[in-house]
Amino acid sequence: MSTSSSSSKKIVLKSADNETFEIDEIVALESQAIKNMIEDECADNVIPLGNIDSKTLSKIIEYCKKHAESPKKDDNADIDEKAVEDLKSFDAEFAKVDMPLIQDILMAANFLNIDNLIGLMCRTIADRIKGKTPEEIRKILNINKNDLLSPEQEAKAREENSWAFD
Amino acid sequence: MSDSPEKRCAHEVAILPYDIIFKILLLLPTNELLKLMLVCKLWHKLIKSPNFVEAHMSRCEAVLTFLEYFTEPHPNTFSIVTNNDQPTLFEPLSRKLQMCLLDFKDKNIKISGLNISGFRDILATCHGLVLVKNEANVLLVLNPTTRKLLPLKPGTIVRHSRDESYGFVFSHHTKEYKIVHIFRDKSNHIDSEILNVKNMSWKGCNVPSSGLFRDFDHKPVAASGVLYWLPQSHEVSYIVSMDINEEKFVRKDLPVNSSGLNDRLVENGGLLNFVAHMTVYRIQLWALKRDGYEDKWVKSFTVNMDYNITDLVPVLMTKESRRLIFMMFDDEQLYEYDIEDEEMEQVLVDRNIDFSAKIMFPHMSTLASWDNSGPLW
Repeated sequence: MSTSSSSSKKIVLKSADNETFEIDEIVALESQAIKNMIEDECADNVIPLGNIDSKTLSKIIEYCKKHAESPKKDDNADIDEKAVEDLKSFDAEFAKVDMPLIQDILMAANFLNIDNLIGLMCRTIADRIKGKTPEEIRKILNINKNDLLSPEQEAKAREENSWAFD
Repeated sequence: MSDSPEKRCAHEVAILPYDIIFKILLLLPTNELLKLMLVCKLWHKLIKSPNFVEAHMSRCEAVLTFLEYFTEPHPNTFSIVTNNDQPTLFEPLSRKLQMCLLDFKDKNIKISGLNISGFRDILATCHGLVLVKNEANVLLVLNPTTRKLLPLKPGTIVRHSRDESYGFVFSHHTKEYKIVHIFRDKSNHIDSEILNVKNMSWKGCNVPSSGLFRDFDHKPVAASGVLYWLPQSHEVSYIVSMDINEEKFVRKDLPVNSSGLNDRLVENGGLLNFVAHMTVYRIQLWALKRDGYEDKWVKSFTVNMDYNITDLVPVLMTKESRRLIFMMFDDEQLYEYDIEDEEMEQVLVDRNIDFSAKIMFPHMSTLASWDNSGPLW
């Protein structure tokens, strides 16, 4: 199988709000889940993604395009450092979006199994909750109100680690 | 970037699943996690779970810990002495031995105080737990990061600390922390006893054969449930090991005879390493690796310098196995050897500290505890 024929092949993704995105197969292969579907030959021309909206999907495609174009680390030991730096600054810019979108991207990346993107989104969330109070984090991450510690449990945990709150 | 409330209502944010929360929390330092336990029940349970504690531990950076006198302790300093109202002649309250950490994450080394005082000695470390004696000579296990404290029953009392050695090790088999105490008794015989931290009982164990241990100058090193001792300060041709599941002393030849006073055992990634001064210009590092049923010494690398390096004492290998940290007694400085670049460099410490009298122990800031409700691993 020649690489040129496979790289020019197109894949169509359809978002929850019925928008379609035509992308190169090589870009779609960044997703382990889509890769498996293609390998198992259960990907028709259009892959419906019923749980990902178009806003999230277009961000994911933007990410996959950039990463598919960049030389992979394991391909070549001495890939040029500029490409690595370039990808790093792309990732940093990419992550500059609001928290609901970060979470949507993370859920979608988890579903599509895009390892690098899961890592990037987890790092972004970790950086944003660092130094915040529990109350602030509950707001940021929209924590389920039914899952809060009871006042007794909270008081106990606070007392045990009181010095950590100074 | 702010999350406006309107947007939030219009846009139902999905609640992140357990495995994703797990991945996010793994990226945060231990002191941050202690606060995050209050976010909700799920996070509380997750951060306390043995799986998380273990996964987080495997990511923790190796640091060094030691005791240092502080003339002006931080106001929020926590003391492990229970009756510390009376300053003694020997230890005025204003000069308390505090626990400190040396952090090697960046090129510049950072020293931080843990604001815990009242120590006499650090005896051993394991997985972020520290075995110490406090000023009243009480034996304790402490996690200085979570500040959980467990007083232990005293073992056999020995008059001089040079006549005893403590090893602290975790048994992956029985999921228990154990302390091995080797000491010279009144009749000058060497004996040993083991404390299981879970049931708090000391019991006598296999007596080391006569002459196996010559002195206790070197602290034992634990690697994957086995304790290792260099049994003499210099001129030694073997090490003594104890697999904590078998509780027997075993003699194992060194790959080369150790002649220098500054040869040491160093743990890294669950393996034991022997660092030997071969000539005044050359240091060799050997790793003890499992080969079938037998452990074999494998030479890892050689440090060659065009100046005298005999005074360098190895103290730590960083987690990524990239840098070997040495302490130099004479000029009270720290040096690091970059294994890939084959370069030795003096490292700058952000505070003036006299390293010459310090005993340093490898350490990590972990969530480890001796009484996790489930099995720890």
